[in-house]
Amino acid sequence: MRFWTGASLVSICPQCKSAIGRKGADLEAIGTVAELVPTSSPFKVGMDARPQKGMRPFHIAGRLQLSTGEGTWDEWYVGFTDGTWGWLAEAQGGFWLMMPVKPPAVPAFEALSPGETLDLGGYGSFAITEVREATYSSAEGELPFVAPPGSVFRYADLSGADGSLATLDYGDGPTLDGFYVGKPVALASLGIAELVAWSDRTVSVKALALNCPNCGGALQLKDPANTVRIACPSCGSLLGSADTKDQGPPSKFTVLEKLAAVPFKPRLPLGAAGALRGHTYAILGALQKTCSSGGEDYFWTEYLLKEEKSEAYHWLAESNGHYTLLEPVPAGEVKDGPRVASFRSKTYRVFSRSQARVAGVLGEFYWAVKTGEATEATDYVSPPRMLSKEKAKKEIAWTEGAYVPPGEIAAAFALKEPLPSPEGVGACQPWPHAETARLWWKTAWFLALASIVVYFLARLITPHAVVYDQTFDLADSARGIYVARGSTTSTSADWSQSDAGAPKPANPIAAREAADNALAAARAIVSEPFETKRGANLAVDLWAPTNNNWVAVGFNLISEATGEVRSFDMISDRYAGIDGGEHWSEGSQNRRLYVPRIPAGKWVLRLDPETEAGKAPPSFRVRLTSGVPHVSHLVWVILLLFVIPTLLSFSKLTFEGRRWAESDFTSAGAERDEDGEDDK
Amino acid sequence: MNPMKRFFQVFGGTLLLAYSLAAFSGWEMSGNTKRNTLPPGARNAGGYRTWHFWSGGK
Repeated sequence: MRFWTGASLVSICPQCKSAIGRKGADLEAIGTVAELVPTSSPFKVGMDARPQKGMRPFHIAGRLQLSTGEGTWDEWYVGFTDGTWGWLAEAQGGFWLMMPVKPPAVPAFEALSPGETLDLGGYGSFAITEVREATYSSAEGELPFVAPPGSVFRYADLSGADGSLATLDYGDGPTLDGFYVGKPVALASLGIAELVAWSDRTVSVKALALNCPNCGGALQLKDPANTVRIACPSCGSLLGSADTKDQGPPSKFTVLEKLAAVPFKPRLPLGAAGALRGHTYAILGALQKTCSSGGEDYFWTEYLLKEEKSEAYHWLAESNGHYTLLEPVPAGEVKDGPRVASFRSKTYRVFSRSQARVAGVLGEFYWAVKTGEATEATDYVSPPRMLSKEKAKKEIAWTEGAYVPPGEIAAAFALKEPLPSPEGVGACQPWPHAETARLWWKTAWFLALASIVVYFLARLITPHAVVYDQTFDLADSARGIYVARGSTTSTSADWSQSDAGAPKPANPIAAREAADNALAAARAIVSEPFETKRGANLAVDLWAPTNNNWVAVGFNLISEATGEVRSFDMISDRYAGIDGGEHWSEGSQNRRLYVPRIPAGKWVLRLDPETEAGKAPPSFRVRLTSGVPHVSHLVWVILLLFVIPTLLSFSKLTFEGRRWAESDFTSAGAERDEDGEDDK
Repeated sequence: MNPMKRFFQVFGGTLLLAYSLAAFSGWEMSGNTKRNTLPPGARNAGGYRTWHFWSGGK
């Protein structure tokens, strides 16, 4: 017997399988180990690792094989050149290098529960992910502890917030025997030259293409070394080892549960391989799961995938035609709350919580799956991503992933028929117009800014000019007659005087009408001709120092060349006062009006001011400016630019409403009762 | 590119072009102005002032 590593206390005889312990210079037989169960582990005793930077070289000195009765896995005892040692652990396709450290104060084994958080002082906080018992079923090479083969170990696996992992080893007693802390390692980083790729190891066990002992149907196993249960895709019968301590190879599986027909028909073919979102997958099996809510049973399918490069197990969940690709994440990196959960700085809102039950299984599985198996399943969403928790009595598992459109699934696995169209809105289905909306909003902002630039450019560059600007003063307050300020030509008053000599009608009504006409004519003001240089709009500004009075002006723009007349009215009125101790005001001294399409040419302006007798403002001013870019046009353009993206964004509200209508919770996280009402 | 994405770019671009033309040409939408034509005989200072034309022509 040889002990390669100084810390080793036991060596397994390769010939007789005896476990030989050393006590000082003496050797002691402590039992015989069983035959090793073939696994798909890439490691072998005797391998040397020359890892990349950050890790020390080590030698694989021994192998411990453990079984929970639901699965068997290897832990590799490694010795470092400085005499220290650790464990290279593997489970569910992942690898961790664990080092023994000083045990912290921890609760008794019976007090541990998956999902709880343990504060381990200087080691940090850890989430308990698994609390189990495992049997020391076999070993080879050397081991750093003395225990008879067949011993039962109690342990708790922990997950740290920084991605670290830890194991509390309680041995077979209530108190802690050992504490191991480590980090996940990538196979490629270990620098082990003799490593065999998973696909090649699978090929090496291709002899495990079996026939179902119940129906004789062919079973093409993709992951035979890790397979603990097989549900025959032809007859649905569940195959496995009846011995809970020795799962044995699939070739020795017997019928555990006989079925006459497959329990369900998965939409994806089991055994199919394909590349999806940067991973190469093989579909190992499918679980049909169910839960009850509001008196109704809901069903969905979860496909077990083997990721070929990392050898990890991923999941593809399908519900109502919606697919979500999920992969395991460390529980210690998840912060779980009643309404939200967060993982790596991303927050997810709770969407559903149910007692999920396995209703049917098909394909191959790495654990002892069975129908009726129940877990508490909670889904949190942040479309297009989902964070999912499955909690059982002995373990808790978190997965995180993203929505995958059915077309992408069909293409990845080269399906001959397209997958059925999804029904409704998926839990983490992204709003399909998100990218379009982003582009539209971006375009709208860009074009709105461009419109503003155009507006100011037009104001700066285009030849807009004041073509008429005149102030009119009140000349006759009794009759409300105004005259142009500084005018030396005939005024309205003059014209009024000339009209005064006309014969008066005998009929009183006609006489009154004639008098009104005469007064109106007296008030009328006719401007000197002015010229507009180009065909454009005309901004008309009216201003008067009105203060609790008004002046209304009738405008008539008359083209000297064509006789075309444009008529409109404007009013300057401003009222203000104090009512009930509060100041109020209304109206405006300034008014502006745009007259469309005024051709170039000579124009005359006729004004008909009208005001309240005795309350006429002392003056008013009229200014005409040709070719003024209209700011309201800019406003309309900006409104039009934003109205369409806004409408599109409103459709997102409808989409989200449909999504959350399917949820056990409101979008704010309030739980709905069985009738769908918010739980106050 | 997705036609839906292209639609808004075309719509917005057309709108901006139309607005640019309107802004630089001084185009104006029809407002609350009435159009009329002065008879040739009235196209003089007296005619502009003649109230009977305006009141009778309304």
